[in-house]
Amino acid sequence: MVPMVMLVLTITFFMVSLAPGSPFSKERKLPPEIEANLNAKYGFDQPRWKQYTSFMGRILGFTYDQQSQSYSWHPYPDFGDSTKYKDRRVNDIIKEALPVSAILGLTAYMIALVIGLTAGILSSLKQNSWLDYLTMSTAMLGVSVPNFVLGPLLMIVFSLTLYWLPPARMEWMLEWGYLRIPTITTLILPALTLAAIYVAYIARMTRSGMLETLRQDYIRTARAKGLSEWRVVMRHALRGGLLPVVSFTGPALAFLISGTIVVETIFAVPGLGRYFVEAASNRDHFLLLGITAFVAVSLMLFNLLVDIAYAYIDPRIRYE
Amino acid sequence: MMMNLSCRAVLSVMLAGVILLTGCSSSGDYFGKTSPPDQQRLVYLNAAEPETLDPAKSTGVPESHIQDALFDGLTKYHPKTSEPVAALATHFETNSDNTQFTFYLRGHPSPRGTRLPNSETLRADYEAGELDEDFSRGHASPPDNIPARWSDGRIITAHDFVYSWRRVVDPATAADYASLLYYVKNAEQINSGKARLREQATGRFRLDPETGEEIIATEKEFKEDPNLSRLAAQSEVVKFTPEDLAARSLDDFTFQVDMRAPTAFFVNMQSHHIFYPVPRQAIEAASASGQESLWTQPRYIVTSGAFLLKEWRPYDKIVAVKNPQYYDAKLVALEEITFLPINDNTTNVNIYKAGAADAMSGNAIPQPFIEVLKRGKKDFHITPSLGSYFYLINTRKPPFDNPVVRYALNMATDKRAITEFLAAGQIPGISLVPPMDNFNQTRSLEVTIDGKSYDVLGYDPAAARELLAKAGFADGVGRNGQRLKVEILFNTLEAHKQIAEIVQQQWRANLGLDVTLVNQEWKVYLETLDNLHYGGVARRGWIGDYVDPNTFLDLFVTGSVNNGSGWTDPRYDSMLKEANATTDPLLRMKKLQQSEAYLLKAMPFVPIYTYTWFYLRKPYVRGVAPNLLDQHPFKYVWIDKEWSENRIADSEIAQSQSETE
Repeated sequence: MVPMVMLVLTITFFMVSLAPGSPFSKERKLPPEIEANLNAKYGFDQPRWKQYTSFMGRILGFTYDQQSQSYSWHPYPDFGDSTKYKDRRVNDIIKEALPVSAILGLTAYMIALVIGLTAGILSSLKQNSWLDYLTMSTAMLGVSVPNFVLGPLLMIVFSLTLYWLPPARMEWMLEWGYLRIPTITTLILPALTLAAIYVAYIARMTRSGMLETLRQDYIRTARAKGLSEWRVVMRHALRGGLLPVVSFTGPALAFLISGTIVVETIFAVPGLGRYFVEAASNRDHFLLLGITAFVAVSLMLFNLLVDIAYAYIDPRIRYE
Repeated sequence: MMMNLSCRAVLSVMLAGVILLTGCSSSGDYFGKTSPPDQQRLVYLNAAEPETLDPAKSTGVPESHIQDALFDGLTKYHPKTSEPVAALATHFETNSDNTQFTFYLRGHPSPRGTRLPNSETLRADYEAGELDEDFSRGHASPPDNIPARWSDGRIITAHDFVYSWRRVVDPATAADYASLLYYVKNAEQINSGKARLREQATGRFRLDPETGEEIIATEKEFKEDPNLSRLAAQSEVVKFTPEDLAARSLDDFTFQVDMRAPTAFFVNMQSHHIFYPVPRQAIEAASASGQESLWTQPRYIVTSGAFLLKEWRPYDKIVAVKNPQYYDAKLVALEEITFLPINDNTTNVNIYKAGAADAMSGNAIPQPFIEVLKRGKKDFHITPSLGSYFYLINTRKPPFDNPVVRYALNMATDKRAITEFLAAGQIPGISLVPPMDNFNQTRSLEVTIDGKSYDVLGYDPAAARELLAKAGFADGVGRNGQRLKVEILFNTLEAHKQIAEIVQQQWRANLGLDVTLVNQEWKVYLETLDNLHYGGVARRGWIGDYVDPNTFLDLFVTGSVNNGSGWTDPRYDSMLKEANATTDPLLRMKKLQQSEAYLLKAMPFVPIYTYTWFYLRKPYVRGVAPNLLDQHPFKYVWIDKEWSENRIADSEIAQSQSETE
């Protein structure tokens, strides 16, 4: 996993370095001497190979101290300073924004799992019935309606017409260091908006997985043994039917917990997604690299968890 | 401040469209809830997450609003005119040619010179009918001889200013706006790492025999340039250090500054955050912990303004509470301000409508809302701004190097059609400097070409076609039979695209030009503009830093990094220099106007419109007046807790009855 992350960061580093435009270019252009001061401050005046080795050193936990002119090591990566948010370090930005995105993402995925699995199972059991058509049409709608339409629609109904829920921003029921837990009333609309598309995907995948599994010989055997339909479905069919959903869960969770620009912007959620996109357009090199590293690690970690879950669910692929 | 994310722009427009269907359906005279809070607490929609709260390093408008609450400078903005009023300084003196300024700080036993306007002035202006509201609310100014204090109780002295200004020009600080201090002697040399030569025998700095001025260059130039290295070999190369800045403390409460040239507008600049003193004690405490930039965090920060920083949660909220140590604390009504860094305009409007915010910074409302809000929402306001929107012309690229072609482009642009489309009260652009007190805008400019006189600032398509023909492009076609191609460069944003489309259509119809739109991502656009790699015109906007025409006119002096047109003229440079050296304010304004007329005659840009500020503010938020810079000092703001729509209606009825009687 470490070499893969280093490779991703190397590619990102050079892509960011080669992108046109400077982190310090603004509508009000800076005099060259001030731009030179800024470049010196962030090390952009150094040759690219030197910038790269210095950055990679920091990723591996080595920090160079200007005053003592020596390296120190710590067991965590140091992504350096943000060029946009001058009072803050990239590590602090990630620590602060990540829990917010993670809680929102996990809540959304939980909602998606509960609704999606239920809808998928029901439609597969009642294939080609009105219930199946209704659920799948709703799922298709969920895939088709983008969240920048759904979000405002929910907001109009629940916040600006009925005044039941706040239109945007999160209030916190618990704040403990970097960990902040939002109140249900402020979490519900962004979580539903984010969940909608995943509900649709999960429902469709569960349905097709279940339909395939229900036709398997071992299901017929289970039924022939006289097991109740509930037991056949929950004990035997669901395991096989869930496999596509499990594969989907890995990357979906990795992306969800690292934040989503659209929902975070609409509902003013202080998560990581906005930082990611804005870091690219601001050429905020170290912030972009820091979040990329985090997303890469999450993606690999969740895929690993998926592989483990696969082995648990499907005995056929277990290593003996 | 720019909204430079294309996805955000697209999002904003789409959201606005959806929400507009029901969002503006609120009946009544106001947009959304109007019940006042029961405490003196203001929630302010501040448009964006601040990049920094360090006054030396910030550049944007959202930061300046928070810094206004947290810090004071020598002066602060007048709530209506944006001119300087007394803050940490009460008086100032200047010498006869405006090359030396002496400021007397709060605590000085016998300040001299000009007294800066204060609460008494505000009250007198209100009584004279010049202000709609008494911003002093009956409070007298604190006595001049009582010193101002930092929020930790330490006295604010002239030494704090010396420390802070040196910190701004120190290259290690890497302050983006350090160039605003370049008017101070030696500031530019310090900031750009320059050095001079000291004769070892006399200890004096070597002078250039031709100019009589010190020989100044970078250390590298002293090594590599043959002539300079020869001189350097005979002398000691001495680098400028922040201690060389010509700003000094004569005593604890007297601060004196020497300028590099006459700078009549220097006092007008002092309300800008770059000049604010910063707390040395907090910066040193944060440095001792290993990271100086942390000094703006609530656990370290010490403030000089009306409020203290209580909490800063990025992209969530910034909470400031009243500073009991503030010298004018009796005047400050608000107990708490919460700044919400919401950078999506539609979300801004939703939060406001739901009553979760009381006021917002300027121009944070999506375009589709404006037309609806303008029709009868009393809490929607449009006020003039100190900003110009124009199209730079690449004067280095033929045929745009010919002023006659540039005149044709300007005269073929119907600016009124653009402002009618924008619909937020923008003023059609005629010149560069927006309307400003004591400055007469150039409204028309007669130029004689081939014996015929043309008003090159007016909209006149027929004359524009004539001029284009005289420049060799009859009906837009050149002598080689090729149609003249013009590119309009802009950064990706829906509003810029719409304006460019209108201009494209006008130039096609009025001049027969082949106009193409070039849309670039923000940073790429800036690079293209900077390198003059655009093939025609490029969008540009400029908001003044201080209320003086110079903040616009010096864009086009030789060496300005913000020029973007490639046009320079030594005569213009000297005209502007002479104007700024003029001590008589009215005569200076006249000379500035002449400089602008000279610039317009060269026409390196097409003026499009003068910006306005448009915003929503709940009717119970008081102590705010419209002003050019959209800077509303929070020390004057208060919540009218008794406000109700019925009370206003009753008072209106009573007023009409008394008029009838």
